[in-house]
Amino acid sequence: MGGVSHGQGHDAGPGTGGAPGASGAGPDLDRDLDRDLDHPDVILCPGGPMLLRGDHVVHDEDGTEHRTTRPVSAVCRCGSSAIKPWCDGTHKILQARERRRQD
Amino acid sequence: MLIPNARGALSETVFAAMRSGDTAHLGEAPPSDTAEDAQLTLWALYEQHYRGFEDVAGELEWDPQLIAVRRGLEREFEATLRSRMPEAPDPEGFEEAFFAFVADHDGPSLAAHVKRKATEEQVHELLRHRTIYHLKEADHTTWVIPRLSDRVKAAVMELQFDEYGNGDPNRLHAHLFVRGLQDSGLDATYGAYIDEAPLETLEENNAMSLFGLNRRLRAASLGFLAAFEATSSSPSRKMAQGLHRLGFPESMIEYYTEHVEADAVHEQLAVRTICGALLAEEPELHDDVYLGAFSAMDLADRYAERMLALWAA
Repeated sequence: MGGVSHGQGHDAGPGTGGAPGASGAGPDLDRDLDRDLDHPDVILCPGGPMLLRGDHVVHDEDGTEHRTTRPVSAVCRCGSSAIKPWCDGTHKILQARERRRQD
Repeated sequence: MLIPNARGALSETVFAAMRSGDTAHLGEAPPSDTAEDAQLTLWALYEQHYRGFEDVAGELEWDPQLIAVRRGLEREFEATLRSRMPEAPDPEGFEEAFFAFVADHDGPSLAAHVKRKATEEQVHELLRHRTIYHLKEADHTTWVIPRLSDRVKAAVMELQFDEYGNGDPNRLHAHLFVRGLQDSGLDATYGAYIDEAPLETLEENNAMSLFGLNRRLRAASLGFLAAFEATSSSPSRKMAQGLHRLGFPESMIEYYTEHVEADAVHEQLAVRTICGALLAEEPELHDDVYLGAFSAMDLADRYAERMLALWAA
């Protein structure tokens, strides 16, 4: 780590409505000097799926094998996906239902 | 594709100049008659940066007079989009706040109508309108890539590579749509249905190009992407169910089932590894991410409202 200066050299505040100078500085080029950028093989999304980078074969609960076909795949963790072992976003519907129940 | 039919005084004047190449007098072009006239003109000016028109010379892509007209129209459009936007959530805990912002957004659902009640004719109309975007699906996000840091650029590519079929043109999402259209008896020629695209379709497509083609709006472009992906999986499943109910061909259904699975990945990437990473580097772009996100959902709502009213659904 090192050599990264976040938020330096930007004088535009949030929501400047496209005024001249807003977002005009472009990416701070210094941040690309950070040599080791995070790129984990597995990401556990809070309240969501497990993201898997790369080629894998996933055994589901029934022992059936599913080969990944994308650069990143999302494995269901809520158990309610209709396309298991992959995520189909159903966890969001369950969470919304739970929120409504609590309200 | 040929330049579309004009829909008012401004598009009439600008399209005539594009066809003839005589743009010298565009400084005195009349104002637009209607929002539709303005949006169609802007759409055609943006289209010059995608595939262009057979009846417009390639040199005109960067014609200063045409660019001046485009700038005027997009300034007005950007102001409109900003004026529609509610207050953005607090910057704390961006990822969860973003998902909550999307979840709390309540809009009419075209997909639910397609799932249960739409007629084949209605779905054909919907698909014809959707050709305007789906035949260049994901391209607007590609404009943003060179404007990003290494970290965010790689994250966008991870998503875009999937949109573009992971290198297999037969899996490229726009091409899946081509196959579905052909099997459904619709014209898959790029731009074939532009003359029937309603105002709301033009606005949605123009917002994508506005955010994608202006570097200072890169955060809005990525926010648009994130909200678009985060509102796709479940509606795509409903679309697939409706298409199945109506007996549409397997290829058209597959276009939507592919999006159920792909967009459940893409929403996580777009929110976490793309927008989250962008804001960690450039926190001052927070509100622009929400400008894009809100615009994506609001423009989809406007189209849905129009079509559901038209179909009296």
